[in-house]
Amino acid sequence: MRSYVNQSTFIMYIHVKPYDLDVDVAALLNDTGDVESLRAAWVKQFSSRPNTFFHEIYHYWQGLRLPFLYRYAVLSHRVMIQAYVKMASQGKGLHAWDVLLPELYRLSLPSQIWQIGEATFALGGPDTPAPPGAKHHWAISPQDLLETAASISEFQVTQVNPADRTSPKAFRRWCKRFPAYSDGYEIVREVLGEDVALVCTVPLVNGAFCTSEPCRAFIELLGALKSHMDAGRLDGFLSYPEPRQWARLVEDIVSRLDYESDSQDAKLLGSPYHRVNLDDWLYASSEAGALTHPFLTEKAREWDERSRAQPAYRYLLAQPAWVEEAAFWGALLDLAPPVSFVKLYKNEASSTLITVGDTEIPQWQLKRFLTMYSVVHRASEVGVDPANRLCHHVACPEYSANYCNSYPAIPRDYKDCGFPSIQAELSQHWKSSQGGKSGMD
Amino acid sequence: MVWTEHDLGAQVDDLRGQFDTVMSVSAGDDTEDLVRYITSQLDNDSLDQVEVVRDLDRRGDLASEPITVAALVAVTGVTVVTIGRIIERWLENRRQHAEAKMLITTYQLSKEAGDAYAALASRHADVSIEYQLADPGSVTQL
Repeated sequence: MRSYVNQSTFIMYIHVKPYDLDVDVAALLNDTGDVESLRAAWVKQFSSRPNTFFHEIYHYWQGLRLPFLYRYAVLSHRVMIQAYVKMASQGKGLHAWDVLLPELYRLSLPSQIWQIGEATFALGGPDTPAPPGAKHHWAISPQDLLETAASISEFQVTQVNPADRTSPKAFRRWCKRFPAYSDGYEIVREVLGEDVALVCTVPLVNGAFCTSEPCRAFIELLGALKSHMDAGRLDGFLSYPEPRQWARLVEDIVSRLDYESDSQDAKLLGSPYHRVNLDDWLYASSEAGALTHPFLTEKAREWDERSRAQPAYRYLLAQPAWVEEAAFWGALLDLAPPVSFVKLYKNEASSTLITVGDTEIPQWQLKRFLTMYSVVHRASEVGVDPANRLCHHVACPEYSANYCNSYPAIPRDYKDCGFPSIQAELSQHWKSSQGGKSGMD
Repeated sequence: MVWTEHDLGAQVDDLRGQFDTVMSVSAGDDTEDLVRYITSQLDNDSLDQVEVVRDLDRRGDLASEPITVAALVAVTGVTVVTIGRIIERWLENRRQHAEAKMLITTYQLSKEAGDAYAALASRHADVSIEYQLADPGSVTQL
């Protein structure tokens, strides 16, 4: 099974090979007439695999709660729409559409980190030479930090024995049994030791994403925590058992960091270092109207409202294994991705694609969003997973070009596919309106 | 991050100093399934004696569950023979669903492990074993 969340669209994609299908799903797959039963059987199967299920939903939650990531999603959505409009207005044939969108590489932009003193670090870009006296060196990207938080949270949530959630030994065993991203954890472990690292890494990552430069903030927060620990200022705090108030402690440090600007902006690259406030972004607007995201904003506002009434929602992302069950399950059930595409393989040549989720966006509009996303993903080469296609019609003339990569309505016969006509309609619309506004953005 | 050969070599060198046997297992899209099967069949004490290093295929612009394309398994003592039996069980279970091609690359192998894995390969035509020993003088002939 292969799954991922696209962090611009926040749509979840899951590819399930024949040998990964439960018996019920496999049986229904051969009887393609009953899509509702197939969908229900799939949801039951997916829910019974807590690791993958939780890991992907946690990534969606990161989009709902981490200010930097929510801001990134809203702005990258806008960037994609603008890129589509620009390419449409150029009037070229679809297979010649091409665009460079460096903004969409922001999450994978690596930083180099050097430890110079006990609590002193230096940060540089990919080509920065090592500073004199550097003791340790790491390279890390915002994406690495997000993955680290997802893996540790997945580990903690899936432990049957509560004591194992804080056990580095149990975590080491778990990392052997399940694939995990642990780059961020390894940095914290080397600096603070493994006992503390396992419980503070996720709150540190979340704190880092309350700023416009997560890697820089991560290392500043780590340095501050190290200083506090070395000076004994956290002895009292650390004398308590988990769950300690890590989120509140990190939030306090975040508020004391030295920023380059007191004001927020709407740039994906080149912003002065500043604190990003989720409340401001949840209700942000521009001259063109509200700055929203079709698959995040509604649920992000819902989470925000719940967090005001139920404290558990404030700590759910930092310490999901310790929050009360009602909040945990409430978030899993109500605040899951509104759109997921699940490709169920009968064999390599034949598959059925089902849509899972609770989006209220009408089908016709969803198809138009996804047509535009598909084209921009392919034209920019960002966000496309060429090894896992939604469509299996290799004979289709559109297949090899793959501009339809995220288009979800796969017909039995490729000649009945709606992608070419929707693409032509959208392209013509934007070309004739010369970038004028429509309901799409 | 996908390892380069250099990275893999460094990992192998590091593990060779600490374990009797170091091998890389790869079974295409099924590699993670195989690694999970091996590690799930070992009890905690046995697992503590084993090091597992995954070669994760990773897309920087997608938040994905890690995909394992190969894994280094480093073992001390007789656990390596146990792992051979586990691999064989996995192959037999797998054969009912799909073809299972597997490549085991050994970087360091004890004599008893060599015998066990040679027997495994002889019983399963779709299992290939490559012997890559950094020090030619220490090659175990099988």
